[in-house]
Amino acid sequence: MATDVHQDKVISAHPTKELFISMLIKDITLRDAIGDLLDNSVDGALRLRGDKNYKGLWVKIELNTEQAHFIIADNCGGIPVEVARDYAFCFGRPDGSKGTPNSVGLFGIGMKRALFKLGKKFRVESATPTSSFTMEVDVEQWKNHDKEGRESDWTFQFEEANENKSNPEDECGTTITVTELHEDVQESFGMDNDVSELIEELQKEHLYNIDKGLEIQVQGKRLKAKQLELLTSDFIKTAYWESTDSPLQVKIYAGVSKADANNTGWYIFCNNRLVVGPEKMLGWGIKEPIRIPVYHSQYHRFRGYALLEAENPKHLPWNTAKNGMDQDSVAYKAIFQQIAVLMRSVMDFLNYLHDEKGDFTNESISETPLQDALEGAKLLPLHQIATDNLAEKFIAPEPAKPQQIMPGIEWIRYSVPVGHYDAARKYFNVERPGELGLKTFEYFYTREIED
Amino acid sequence: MTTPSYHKINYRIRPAKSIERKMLCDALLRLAFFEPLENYRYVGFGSTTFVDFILFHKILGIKDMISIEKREEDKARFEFNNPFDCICIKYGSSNEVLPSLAWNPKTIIWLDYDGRLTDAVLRDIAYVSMNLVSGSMLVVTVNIMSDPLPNPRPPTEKDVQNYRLERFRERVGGDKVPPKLKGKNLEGPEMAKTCGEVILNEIKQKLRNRNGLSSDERKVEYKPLFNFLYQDNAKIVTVGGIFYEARDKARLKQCEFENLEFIRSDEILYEIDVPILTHRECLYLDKTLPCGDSNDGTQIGLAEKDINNYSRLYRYFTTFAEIELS
Repeated sequence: MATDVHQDKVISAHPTKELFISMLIKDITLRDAIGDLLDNSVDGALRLRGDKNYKGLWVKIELNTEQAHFIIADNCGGIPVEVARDYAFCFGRPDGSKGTPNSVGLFGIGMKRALFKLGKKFRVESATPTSSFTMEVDVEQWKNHDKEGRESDWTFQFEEANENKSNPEDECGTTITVTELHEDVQESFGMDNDVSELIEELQKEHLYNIDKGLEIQVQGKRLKAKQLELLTSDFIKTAYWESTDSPLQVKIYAGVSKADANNTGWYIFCNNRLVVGPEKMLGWGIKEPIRIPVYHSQYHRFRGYALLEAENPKHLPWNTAKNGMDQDSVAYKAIFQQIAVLMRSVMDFLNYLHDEKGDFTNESISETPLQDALEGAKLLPLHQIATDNLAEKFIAPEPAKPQQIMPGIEWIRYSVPVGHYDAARKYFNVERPGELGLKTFEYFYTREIED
Repeated sequence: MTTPSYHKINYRIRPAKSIERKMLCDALLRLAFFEPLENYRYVGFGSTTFVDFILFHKILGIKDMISIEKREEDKARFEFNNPFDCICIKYGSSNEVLPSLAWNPKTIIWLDYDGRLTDAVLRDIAYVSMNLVSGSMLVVTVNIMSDPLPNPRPPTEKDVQNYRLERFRERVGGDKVPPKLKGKNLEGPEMAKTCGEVILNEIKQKLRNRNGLSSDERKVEYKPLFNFLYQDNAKIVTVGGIFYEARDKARLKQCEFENLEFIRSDEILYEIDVPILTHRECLYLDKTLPCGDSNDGTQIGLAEKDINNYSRLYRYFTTFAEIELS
């Protein structure tokens, strides 16, 4: 009797496979999914070489619409049988799993979710120096008819697993093949633009790893590393902030680079992996803790880089799709405050630069110290910027003050409707507002005063 | 455009303000447990009189002083009235100037606004809360007069309260209005409490954010110390306190701020109620202080309330006299 009462109080909270197969995949894009699989390969490289030289290591991604398959293959050390059996395919990271320091794999959801996102069947082959395995999963079958016929069986089967082997190092790696691609995936792989976007995104996400020598290929095209660069000199100093006080180490740089609408904005990296950026929404238009203007073309030169590092990736304040930040984390709140403070000093400079251009055009200044300083600055990768050229706030020369008072000379400034201005400019056949102002004044003066 | 207060009144003859200033100075002296006062920086709004600057330079020995002045068009006057070489006047709104300053020196900052609490005021508070280093002091003064009611007056009291609430919301921003705020909290001394609460909420939130990456002992905390209420012309509240890192708690303790009678670390206001006494009466009462007996004062015809107020304030009391300079 007592037992029955107890059972009545039990509330079921079992997960369903459907949640993982059909629901969680809605939270990520196809590009994020492929990015997640690439992250696994990169973590392999990190395990193999530490945070050093990845020369000789490669990851090849093939999107094949004709045969309707997706392949990602690497020579980055492979997945040990033990890890595959006990951890790698668990949904969620089990207690006791050994993470790689400074890795980007953390949540225990990325790879499975990515595979479900791509297609209905997948095959994993992996070899390490001491073990190898293959496994094949038919997702539909796994969902409905597992070996016991019960939906609650949360296991996969090795097709083959060998331990205590001795594999040559150059044969160690992982190949994942996804077949029976979902219709939208198949369609996307057929679109050149989608593939180009994927390449662009992966190139940015892994620029640090590519820079370290990791060869990443998509459709046979080798990805190139873009550098994170800023203009710097003794007169143009980058705004810089760092925190080394907690398990999450943060370095933030805000400065200027070449005017480039496509690459302007903030970049946030977590353990060398780009998570956000180039982001034109972050910071712009905020009212607190400090007011920052909304994004505008005069800010094309802006670049901000936040580099977050944690030995244990659980300290990184990102979301599970690794395409955004955990907005409620206090660590991210602290970072965002600094992002705002640092970018504000760069915005001030870019506003002065904009004014300088205008003042020079209308001849109210005769020098352009800000433009000159930019032209004298060098574009350098972040790690090459001298410590002396980093400052608490962005530093640039004082802007030239419009010359208002000169002995015997008076300045006149006025504004007129654009239509009137254009008509008058045509009449006098002049280009610049300053010239037009002079012409119109002379016109009046000769006729009405001089005579 | 509003007329600046230095056109309307001479700060020197605001007795309650003068007392408040001296009380602040008395408290600031205790910061020496963090750092010798002469190494501190003072940031304030000096206007044309620089009264606070003069006091803090003379008494505290502070040499690094910055006065923020909005009206660059009156630059010549401000520069002329600048009493010391060590005061640097920065032109621009405080919203613009504060982010342009370096924040590594220990700082005493008095944001002594002429107007009411607004979103721009809160932005200054947010910015300095994010940046003040351990041992720094923030003081904020705002006018707490209720927003004027429209003409004709809203028909019912409920309408009046809703109107007040709406104006306040517009002024400080909806996200800064405490969830339980009612219209009645925006009238009289209640308004002082509300302003204090909104300011404290802002400081707390910004510190929570700021501390996200700090180890426990480096976390910055805020201890409220001031909650003055007074009226010279307008009704004014001044709140403020000290920013300190957890590892500096022992220093804070040494300061013994709580031994000063006017220190308030909770929401209870310290009202500066200035008795109107003649100089002769002051001198008479002084002879009985600090452990005076109010009977002494009543014998010469003074009200007990005035005597009590005087005995609380006498160390900071200023007698104003008219002198003719020729």
